[in-house]
Amino acid sequence: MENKKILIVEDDKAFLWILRQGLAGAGFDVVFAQDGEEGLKMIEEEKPDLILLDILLPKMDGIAVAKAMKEKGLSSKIIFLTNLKDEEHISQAIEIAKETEYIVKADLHLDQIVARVKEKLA
Amino acid sequence: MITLTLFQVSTLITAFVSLFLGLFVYFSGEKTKLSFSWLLTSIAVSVWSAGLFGVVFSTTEIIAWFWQYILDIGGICVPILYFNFLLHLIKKEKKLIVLQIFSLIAGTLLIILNFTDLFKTGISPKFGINFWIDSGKLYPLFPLYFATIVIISTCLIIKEYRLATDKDNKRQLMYVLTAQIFGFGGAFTDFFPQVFNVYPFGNYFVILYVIFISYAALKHHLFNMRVIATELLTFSIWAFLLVKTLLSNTYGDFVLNGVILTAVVIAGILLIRSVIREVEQREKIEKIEKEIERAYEVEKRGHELEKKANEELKLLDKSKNQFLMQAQHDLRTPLTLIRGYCDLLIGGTFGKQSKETAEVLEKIEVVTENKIKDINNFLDVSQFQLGKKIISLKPGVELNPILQEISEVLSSTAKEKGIYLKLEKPKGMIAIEADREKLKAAIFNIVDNSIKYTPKGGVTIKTEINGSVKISIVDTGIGISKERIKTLFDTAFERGEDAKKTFAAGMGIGLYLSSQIVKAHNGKIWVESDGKEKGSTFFVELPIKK
Repeated sequence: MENKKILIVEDDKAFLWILRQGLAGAGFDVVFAQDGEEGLKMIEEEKPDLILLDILLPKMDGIAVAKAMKEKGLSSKIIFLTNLKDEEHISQAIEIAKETEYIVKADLHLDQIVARVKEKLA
Repeated sequence: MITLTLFQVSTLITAFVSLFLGLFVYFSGEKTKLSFSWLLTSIAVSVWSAGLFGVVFSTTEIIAWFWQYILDIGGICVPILYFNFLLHLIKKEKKLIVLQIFSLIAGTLLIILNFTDLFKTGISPKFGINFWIDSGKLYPLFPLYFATIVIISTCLIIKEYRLATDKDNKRQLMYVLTAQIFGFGGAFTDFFPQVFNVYPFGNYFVILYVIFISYAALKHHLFNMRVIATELLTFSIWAFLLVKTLLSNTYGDFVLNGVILTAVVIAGILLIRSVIREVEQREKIEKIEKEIERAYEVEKRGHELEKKANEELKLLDKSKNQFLMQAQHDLRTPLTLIRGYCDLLIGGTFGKQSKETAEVLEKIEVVTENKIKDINNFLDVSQFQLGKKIISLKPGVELNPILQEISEVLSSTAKEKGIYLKLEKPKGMIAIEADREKLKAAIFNIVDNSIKYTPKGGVTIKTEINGSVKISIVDTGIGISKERIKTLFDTAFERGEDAKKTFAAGMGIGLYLSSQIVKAHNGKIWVESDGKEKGSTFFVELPIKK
């Protein structure tokens, strides 16, 4: 999994730190952004292989970031990583791209999240 | 042949019309104190005007002198009665009774004074009018009394007009005020010859006063005014012709005038009837129009209310969503973090932990895991209770793997408690229409609950197929009382009394959530127990779609 670049878009600094530790420990090249706008800019600049995208974000929410990506033709893979587990958000996220994965933070351990990322990139 | 001067005609018409309108208002409308007070006023005006006619028409001083008394008494009574009428109109007859008594006393004194030569000394021709009063020393008290009452009345009307909010009411007061200006203003000029030596030009206007007030007093509609106007005109012509007939010089004139009068009376009656009919028809149309308008207003208002209610509902829905989003985020995040830190430490990111530290970390993880489970239940229940749809049924969901997963996760929990958890696998594949995750949570909650309340023995999961799927979770636990069975699935946030004693963990909403999920699957959930300490069996029955 070396050389694969992961972008984490997450406003919760503590959880961001945990994710960075976990993913860097697994050998990924990790970059991050703390709000939606910054995230979108980094997707354009860094062209990450995969994005771990939170939904509740300042300035621009995760769903809007994914929509903007689609409009701009940016093709990075997306895993929504959020603590929202309602039908409304899940269906909105899935609607944007069928291959999008939706993970509820509270449902998985860190190693399970890392495993999902690896699966997605395989 | 006697000819009438314009002045004489105007007094005669005022006398007739006033009497007629007073009676008309009283007998055609409601017989209220207000309309009665107006009748009295009208009679007084009529008496006064008839008296005036008598004075100015008389050819001998003695007859004119007699009419002068009628004129004066009538004239003194008019302000008193008018003031009484006005107080009734503005509904202050009781509040301002003192003023009324004063006007009555002043009027009575004037009537007494009227019989002395302090009031009038005689009558003589003036301004080409046959006879007119020669005033006495105290006569100016009469115009003073007259003006005072008129001024007070005017003030009262203006005050009332300002306070009035109703459009009709305002219009009515406006009519009364206009009437006063014409009537009393006009009549006041009758004081001019004897006081200022000026011709009483205003007398012609007095008639307008009667017309205006009669119109306003009964809140007549504009169309009714047409009837009144027609009647007024007709009666005036009749009165004029009647006087003319009676005053005929020759028999031939008398007959001719009589025939004309009869013809005019018949024509007049026909005219009035046709006008009344037309007015009635118009009123009907107006009424229908108003009803249509009102119905339209009601409909419009209904639409507005509906729109508003919809907006409020939308707002409520929005705030519900906001609340749920906030709750999900705020409740899950701290637990996610705690578990994340533990994961890092246990995973060896920061080096290998001592055996003791690793044990503590694992305990933290278990506690956190349980809390996450509780919070998930809690959030699901909240969504149910706030009317959110959280179940989406999909066909072809296999039951066996679900039960297998539940059994795998919970067997360690049972093991720790020293009890067993058995899964009696059903034969063959069972596929149903379900929301896999939610159904799993529902059954998980029941099994978890049974383990919690089973101190010894164990829990068995069985499946039967008989037209539908029946899953039974049989335990050897504390049992459930008959009373409690009835309400076991009813309310969230409530646990059985006996359940509390076992100190089992949980928020007590698991069963409620399970029942809601099963119901959303068109299934049935119930529990059977032989009583305390005799174990319980939970049943979940789900339909199989063919």
